[in-house]
Amino acid sequence: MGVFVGVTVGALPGLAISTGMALMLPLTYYMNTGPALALLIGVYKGATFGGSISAITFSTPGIPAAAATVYDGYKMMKRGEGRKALQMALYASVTGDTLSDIITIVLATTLAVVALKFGPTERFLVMFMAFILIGTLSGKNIFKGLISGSIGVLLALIGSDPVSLVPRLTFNLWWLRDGIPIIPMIIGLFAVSKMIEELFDIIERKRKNEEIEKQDLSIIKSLFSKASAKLTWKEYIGCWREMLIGTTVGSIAGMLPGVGSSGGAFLSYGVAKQFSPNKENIGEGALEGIAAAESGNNATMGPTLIPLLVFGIPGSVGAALIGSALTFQGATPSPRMFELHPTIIYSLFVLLIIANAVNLFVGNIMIRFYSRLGQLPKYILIPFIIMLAIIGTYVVSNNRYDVIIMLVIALLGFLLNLAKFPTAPLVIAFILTPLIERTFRIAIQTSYYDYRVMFDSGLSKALLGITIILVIGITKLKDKSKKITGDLEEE
Amino acid sequence: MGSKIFSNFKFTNKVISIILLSIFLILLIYTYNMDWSQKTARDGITAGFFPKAILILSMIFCIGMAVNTYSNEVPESLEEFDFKNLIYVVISLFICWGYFLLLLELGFFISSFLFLSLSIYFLGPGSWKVSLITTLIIIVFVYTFFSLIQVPSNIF
Amino acid sequence: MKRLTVSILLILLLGTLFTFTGAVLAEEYPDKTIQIVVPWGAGGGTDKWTRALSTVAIENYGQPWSVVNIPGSSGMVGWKEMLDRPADGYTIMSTGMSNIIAPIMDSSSAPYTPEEVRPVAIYNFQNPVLIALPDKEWSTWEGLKNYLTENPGRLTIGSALGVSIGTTSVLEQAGLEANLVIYDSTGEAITDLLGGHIDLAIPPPAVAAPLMESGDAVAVLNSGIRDIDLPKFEDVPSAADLGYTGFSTIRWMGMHPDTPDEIVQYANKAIGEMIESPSFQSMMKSMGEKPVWVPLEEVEEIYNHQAKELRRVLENIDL
Repeated sequence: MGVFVGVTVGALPGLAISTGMALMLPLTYYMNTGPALALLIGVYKGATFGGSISAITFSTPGIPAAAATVYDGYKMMKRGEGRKALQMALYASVTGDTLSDIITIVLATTLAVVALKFGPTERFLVMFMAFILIGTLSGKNIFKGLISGSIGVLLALIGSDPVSLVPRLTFNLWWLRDGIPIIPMIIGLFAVSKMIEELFDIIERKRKNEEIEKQDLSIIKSLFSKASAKLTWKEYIGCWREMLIGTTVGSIAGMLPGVGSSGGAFLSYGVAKQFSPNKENIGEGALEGIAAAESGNNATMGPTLIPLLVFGIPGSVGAALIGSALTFQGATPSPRMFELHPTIIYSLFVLLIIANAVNLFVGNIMIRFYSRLGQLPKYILIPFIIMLAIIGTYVVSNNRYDVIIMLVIALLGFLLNLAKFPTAPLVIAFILTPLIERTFRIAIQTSYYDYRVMFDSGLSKALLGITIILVIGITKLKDKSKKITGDLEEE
Repeated sequence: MGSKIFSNFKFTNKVISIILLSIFLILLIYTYNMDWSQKTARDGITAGFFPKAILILSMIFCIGMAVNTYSNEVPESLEEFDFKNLIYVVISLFICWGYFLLLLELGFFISSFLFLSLSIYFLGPGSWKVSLITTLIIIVFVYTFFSLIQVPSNIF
Repeated sequence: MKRLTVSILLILLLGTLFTFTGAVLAEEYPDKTIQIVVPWGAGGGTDKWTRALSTVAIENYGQPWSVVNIPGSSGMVGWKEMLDRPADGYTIMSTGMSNIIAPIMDSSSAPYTPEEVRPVAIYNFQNPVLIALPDKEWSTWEGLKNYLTENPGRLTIGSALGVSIGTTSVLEQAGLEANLVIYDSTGEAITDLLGGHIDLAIPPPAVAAPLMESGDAVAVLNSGIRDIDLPKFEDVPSAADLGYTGFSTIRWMGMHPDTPDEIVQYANKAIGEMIESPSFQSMMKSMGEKPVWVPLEEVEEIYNHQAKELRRVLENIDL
């Protein structure tokens, strides 16, 4: 039940995981511990996978964490390999999730101690690493990628300064005080701008009096007919490296408060893009890209619970909501949780694993349906998605200004696509900038404005070292790949 | 005469970068002249520091884009682009906004019905039968979804 | 096509008619569902309280409560929505302190001032507690005072903005200087405290209690204006004990400023009954929270005092 609701919530653009869980929370007041936790964990996991469904079929990430899936997923959908892409997303999600759950269960207490070692400076460096890794997504024309990234940073800087709380770049509009919310941003940039482009095509053809594909009601019937090519076992196993990367990176990201599932997805996508044997194709519609992103974001699920269970500190909104459900059941998460409520902890662990199996089952049914939905004729799909996008944007926060922002961003996205700017660096910069800025400024404040103190701990030195190596490594790799592409162009 | 110049005009990457450069420049001047950008926070960073830094950086990138190897290339999507068409884009965004306002006034069912049936009719092959039936299916489908998870909103 | 237009007009007409009859029947308040605007996202603290309250609305308020989350711009969007709706008592805003802070910080463009509301109920006082790791020099108030006198500014306190006001105010009154770092969430600040990256943190009591029980942290100061009715908190000095004025963050409800008095009085009394109802009390007890009920005159007095104090502190501290 929980998973079903979760996948539904996730698949609807706009509704975030936390919204779905928060809406279910009141129901758990009247339930026993088992079913209550099952419902919430189901929604939690289901929504994270569900987000990728709409990312692949409509190029609209249902949740921010699924934005990394769009690049490969939507391209595969366009090639008619939607079903394969969706299945890969599902299997990668479940694989990454199950493995990270096992890690959580086995190592919960040990990992929690490790997580405490990550102070503000270390968190800042982890974020910064994510940013650097992503720098390689810029595509053929490096400057276009860089400009698009800067636009992302600029958009993210709109809103209050995190320390002095002075509104920046808000053009004196009070409703921009908190900056551009992520959901209108993503829906506008991915879904609506793509739809306007498609719309454009149709209008163009209409004006030239071209024949439009004649279709009748049979298309609706075809929704329920046999589906296209399936994912083979071999293809699934072929992505083991990416899934492993996703699981590892995602688990680490999940443990750290403030990094979250979007961070996990992008970070593992970036790592896979560097180290996967098929790295040239990642971003062009490769199964490997989906595998890395999806296993990365689902692998954060289990580990976010670690700080909650060991210290009573929620690492994410999802974990906070599970925490308040536990509190309602009389088991307040605290450092003594393992002694006081062992049964609840173990039923939680069992549920984490079972939810994956259910996710697999429900996900498979949903995929059949959704992969067909994407093949509706354009003239139906465009109004349908625009409608979903508008309702989705509004319903999350009942905030009409969000819809304005969404439409403006859609126009921006359309223009950028027109001039062939890659949008990936923009979104990633947008998501990571506030995290980086905040952690950076907390880091310098907690070290009394002394940059030497910042990098005092062994861990931060190690992270700094890795970052520097990465920067050098990437520039080297870039040169190499440039040479290769350069050679090809000369031929 | 003027139109002739215009017809020879190509949206090369160089032109695009110059347009962007001027936009960034205007923003930079705007930022410099605002009160908030001078306000210093406790950690010694002025509120305008990051915006200014990133604007200057993007201007450097723009210059880079104007002089690198691809600078005379025209993005394929712009090759045959008729700029009068931009008006359609703006109109369609306004239609979306209109639909949203309608949504607030009339609620989900009526406004969505109008929006979907009309747009499917005009975009599609122009058959009322197709447009009405698909509209109904979509509305029922979406409504069941949203009511299943009990979204609290005043539009349903 | 024409028929469609006609039917739309009809529906519009009917709609307006209904609103009018609603206004005429004001003395029979409440006769329809009450919309509760929570200017924060679903799942937050205020949202949790309000949803718990809404479970006892039908029996005690006479009508069901429907909770709508309208987050955005530090809660300003929700407040504005409440002001845009009619002053008929069918829209109540349930919120905390941050959307009072926002218009103070940003008075030039904010769409309202903190005075543009009719407060009807205060249902929770939060007394944020200053906590530290045990066995540090600054783990007691006296020790903290001595340490800061000798090393001004050399202790880092991590906190979310709202809950930090009390401590900031007390430190200022005591003439002490510390390095206050504003975090996005209390959870992050506590992780950093336990990891030893910062020296002190300011969580709400419900978060502090389990940490104190397990011995991972000790409380230095109750910076609020009320006593904390939880075990382990008896020995924690409060701001008043030390001779300073504290500051509690309040959770409260407000209506449109033009709402008729009878409706406000009805709402205050009915919300009081809701708070007092056994099922709500037990729900809150299991969450480690303590609801209060405050009579109407006091509500306005406390609200105005808090708003004034907030303005003073925010203008004094240099963020």
